[in-house]
Amino acid sequence: MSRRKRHQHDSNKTTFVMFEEVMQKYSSKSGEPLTAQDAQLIFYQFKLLGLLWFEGDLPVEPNQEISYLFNDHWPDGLNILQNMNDIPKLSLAEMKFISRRMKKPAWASSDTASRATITYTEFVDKTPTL
Amino acid sequence: MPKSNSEQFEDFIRINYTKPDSAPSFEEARLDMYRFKLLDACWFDGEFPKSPTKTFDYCVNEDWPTPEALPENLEGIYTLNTKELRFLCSQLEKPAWTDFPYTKYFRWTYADILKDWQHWK
Repeated sequence: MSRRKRHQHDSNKTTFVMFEEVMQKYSSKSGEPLTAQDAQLIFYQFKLLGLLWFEGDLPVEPNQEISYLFNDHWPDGLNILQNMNDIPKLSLAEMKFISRRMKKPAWASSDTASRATITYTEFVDKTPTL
Repeated sequence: MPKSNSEQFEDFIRINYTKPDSAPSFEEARLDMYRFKLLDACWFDGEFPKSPTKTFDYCVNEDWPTPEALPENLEGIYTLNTKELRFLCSQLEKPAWTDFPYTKYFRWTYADILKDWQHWK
């Protein structure tokens, strides 16, 4: 089943398939279990990379829900990652500083954006060790 | 006594620009303009020109830097390449301070940037 068809079949599953694709490219914790702090960092990375959108700062608590929008058209943007090797290396403070000043992208206001909520704990549980 | 914006700016330049004696190349100046845009120190619409002789309009954030807003360490931002900086800058919201009545827009070229940079030697 192609990724796009799989998405139509199960949006949440594809979301995590795509998360994993990006994380496998960027994760420096190969083989280690993710922590809530890792999940927070990953969510900021994904916002900066245009993969998802959330308003304001992310919570710190592992069990607090995060509401976010997912860019369904982002798979086409995988090519942009070819030159984006240093963005995931930004510190949490740097990513928060940039994130606060980003404009809401057009895709986040369109019907194609998937809405989801998740906690860091759920994210870590659903995401296999990389 | 709190430092003035001018003093804070001088501190910022001293900390983040370790080779002030060498004039920046056009590409370095271009990189810096994107960095300053990402750091909220200046604003220009769209892309910085690729030609040294082409004029561009930009404005400076008179209230910058505000240390409490800046990340303590900017090492990550200073390692970003031009493509990454352009990509992130293209996603920034135009800041409110650009609309203030006293915000002046400048029309400069790379040669003008070089002249000003000499001030920090």
